[in-house]
Amino acid sequence: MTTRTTVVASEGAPDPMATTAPVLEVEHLRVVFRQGEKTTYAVNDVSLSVPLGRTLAVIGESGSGKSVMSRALMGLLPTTATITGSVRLLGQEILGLPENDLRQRRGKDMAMIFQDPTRSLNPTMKIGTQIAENIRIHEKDVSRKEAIARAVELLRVVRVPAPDRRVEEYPHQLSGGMRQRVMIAIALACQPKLLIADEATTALDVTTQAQVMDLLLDLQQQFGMSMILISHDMGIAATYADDVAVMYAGDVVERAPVTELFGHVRMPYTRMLLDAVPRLDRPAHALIPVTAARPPDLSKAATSCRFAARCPRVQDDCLQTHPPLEEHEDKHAWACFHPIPLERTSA
Amino acid sequence: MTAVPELVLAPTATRRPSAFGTWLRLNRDLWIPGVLLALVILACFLGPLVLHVTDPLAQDLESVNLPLFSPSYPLGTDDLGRDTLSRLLYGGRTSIEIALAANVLGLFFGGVIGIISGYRGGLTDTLIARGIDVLVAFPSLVLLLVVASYLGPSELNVILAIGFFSIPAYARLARAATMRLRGLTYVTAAQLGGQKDTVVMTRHIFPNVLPQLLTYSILHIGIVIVIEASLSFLGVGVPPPTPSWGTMISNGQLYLTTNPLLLLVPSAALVITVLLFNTVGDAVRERWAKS
Amino acid sequence: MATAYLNTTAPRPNVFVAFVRHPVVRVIGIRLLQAIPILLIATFITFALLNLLPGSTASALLGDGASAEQIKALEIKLHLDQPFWERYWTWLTAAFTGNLGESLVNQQSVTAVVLDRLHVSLSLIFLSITLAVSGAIVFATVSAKKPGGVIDRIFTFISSLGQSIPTFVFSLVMVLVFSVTLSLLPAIGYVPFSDSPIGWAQSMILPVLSMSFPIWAIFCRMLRADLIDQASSEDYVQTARAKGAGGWAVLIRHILRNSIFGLITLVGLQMGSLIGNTAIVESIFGLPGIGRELLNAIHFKDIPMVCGIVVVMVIITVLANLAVDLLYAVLDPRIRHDSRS
Repeated sequence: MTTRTTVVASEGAPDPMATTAPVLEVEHLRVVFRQGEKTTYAVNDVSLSVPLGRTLAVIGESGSGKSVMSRALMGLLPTTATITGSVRLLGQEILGLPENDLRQRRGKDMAMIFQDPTRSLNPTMKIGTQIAENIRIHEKDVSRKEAIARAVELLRVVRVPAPDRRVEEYPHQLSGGMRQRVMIAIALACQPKLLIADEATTALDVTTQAQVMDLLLDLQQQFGMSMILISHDMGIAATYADDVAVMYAGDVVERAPVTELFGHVRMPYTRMLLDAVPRLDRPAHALIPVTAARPPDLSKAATSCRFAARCPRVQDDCLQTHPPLEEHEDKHAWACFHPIPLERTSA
Repeated sequence: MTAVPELVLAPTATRRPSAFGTWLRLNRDLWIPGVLLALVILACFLGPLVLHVTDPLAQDLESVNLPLFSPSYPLGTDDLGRDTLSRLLYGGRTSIEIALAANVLGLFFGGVIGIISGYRGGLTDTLIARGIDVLVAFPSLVLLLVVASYLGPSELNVILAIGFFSIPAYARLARAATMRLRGLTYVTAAQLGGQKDTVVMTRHIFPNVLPQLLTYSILHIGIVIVIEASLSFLGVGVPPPTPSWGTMISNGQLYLTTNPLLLLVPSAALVITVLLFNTVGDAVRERWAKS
Repeated sequence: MATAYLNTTAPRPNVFVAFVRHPVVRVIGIRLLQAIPILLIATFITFALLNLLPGSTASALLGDGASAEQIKALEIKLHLDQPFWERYWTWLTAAFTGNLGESLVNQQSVTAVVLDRLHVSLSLIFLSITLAVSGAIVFATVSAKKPGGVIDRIFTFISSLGQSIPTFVFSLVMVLVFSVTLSLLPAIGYVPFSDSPIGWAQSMILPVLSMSFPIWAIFCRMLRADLIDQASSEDYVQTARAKGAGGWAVLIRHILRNSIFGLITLVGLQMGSLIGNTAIVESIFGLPGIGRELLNAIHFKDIPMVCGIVVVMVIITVLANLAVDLLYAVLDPRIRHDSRS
């Protein structure tokens, strides 16, 4: 990879000057699935950018297209998916790269951790081998023995106890939290510049969740990575992210730095998501406001606001035109014709 | 597996091709082999009546071992001057009749045993399930061979023997399906409503297990045809001179060097028929798996 | 988690206890114990089938011209005058000591005849399974690399053909092509390995091909379906691809590794029909195995011989399934390293 030298000066330590050039730039990303007679518009016109060393949280309920989007970035979607737009990793366009070129960047420049660590590890392979595999794919001159030694080191980095013994074990011999640490070790094996964590803590219990998230944050600083946290959990976004993008039915409907977003919610959908989080300052047993409506139909391209059917602020124009995502204020973008006025959200 | 079939939605009005056209295009894997199979079956059962073929047993010693496309013998004749086409059609009829009869036996007894085993549970089920496991992994062809030869070669005995050895496969399937159904709400509702076990099994379980058994039976017909032909080939199946594909192949083996047609023609008929049954069976089963 | 790990440093129990508690040993032990009732059931079913069928065996054996005394004498010789349970018990206890009785045709010991011919059948079965399994792995993997592609369609057609062609038909076609038309290989006859390894190989090629083609087809279809299914549904496949592993590496190093277990199970399930097919293949190719011997015995109504061979075949099936279970236990790390239990 000669291209990366233009962006990142050295391995490991983050270059403060590089923060100006984003690690990942996504423009007008669309994903359409076609299978037989069925068409699904899973991701519509998503534009994002992740600067070096920063964390972007992508928030949305299930079916909002956040997982499809993250797999599109990694080039992991099946052939039934048509992907258009632009994805630039370290300044180089990777959308439309031949599979063979793309796979040399997967696991090396960008890596991914998945939701269920139990199913994400190969049950018939030793943990050490699974970590070493990532190293040996991208660094052909590394011997098996060296790769295993580095796997031990990586397990130490992700704070797995007794790493020299763990490399010889199989996934079923570890707990869920330990398995997710192994997944992180695999992802970190080649010191990627971008780490995508797709619901990485959802399958874990609450205390383990916090440990794994803290570990991720530490490692991010240690390795100088950028991160994309895919989650449905507003709390995780608020605690660990620098920027937040809210997705609904394949659209990014609101995007802003974390304090701005939670301080001044403009998009009614984001408001609804926040209100759905149980809070201590509300009276006990208070009803959580949820609008009942059928999930949006993704089999047709959007001609109106997809959230209109559930939106308390809906008006006629919402049903006639699809609102585009526009940066209405500095770094704060939303896709809504009738955003919530500022004074109401500042509380 | 729910009892309610999925509603097939009407096609969108904008599309030109008719609903039937769309169906044909999407179900090519089902209807093409299905139509071919129907043709084969029709040929075997109606062919002899329509085509005015010679009696399959009539020997014409002046026209022995005729090649393909001989006048009045389109597929030639065998070593005794019997019409190969006629024997092929009648032989197919024998094979399909035996296959259907043996399947009905296996389906009925296997279904009953499987449903009772799956519904009752407990010790009955453990014993039956163990027995099925042993029998499924058994060298059943060997036992069939022995049983068929003890019973003596006759069409009925072949049906009985193959039918008996078809029971474990059906029983295993019925048992698994019953155990899935047993947990469903409507079965529990019927039980709580005070229905007798026999009523629940015949009214509620059986109708829902049957389609699966019937789907499997298409595949099993192919298996039975192969077994029947193997038995006839080894001389313990359908007794001569009744035409059957197995005996025709067995006879053709004797003239392997002089007249390979006697081997190849019935072999081709056998393989094509079994292939069609398997293809249709797979296509039907795939549709089940999807819904 | 950490405490469980520390426990391993505690004083170890003695070697014997540790051995017995080892998961692989436990699984093997349980399977061996389970095989005993299965063998009993299997032999009982066999014996019952052969002995409870209608008709007087003795009169059938001696033909219509036999006198009442002759029939009586033969019935006593075959213990047919005793009740069924007694006969089964006598037979079972004798069989347990390795005595399967005497042939009615030539008074040879059934055990001796079986032992003399067993190696031919066993090598036929072993070679056929090996060929079918390795062939299935290669073809299914190539097929699953690009499902729906040209190669996949061709292979799928060949394997559905293999599933539809009876063993005896395929054997005869092989003879027609390779012996009659091309004169490459002998159609019939057997050369012992000790006489001439090349001759032995030549006499085994066609029988092994004939035996393995139908089971290859079954293995191939199942393995292909499982590979494609895992590729599209299993998360570990995504992980492997996210590492940057190429298509072949994912397929062979990851998916095949997991699919092999289903294949092993299937091999066990096919053992029964494979052994049955030895009768057909051995008689077509004239191999002196127990399958052909069984057909001969059936022809001569040599009841002790039939019973002995069928029981040996059943035992082989049960033992082969046992071997499959053990292989599973040894290969699958989830059983091998089961720290709980």
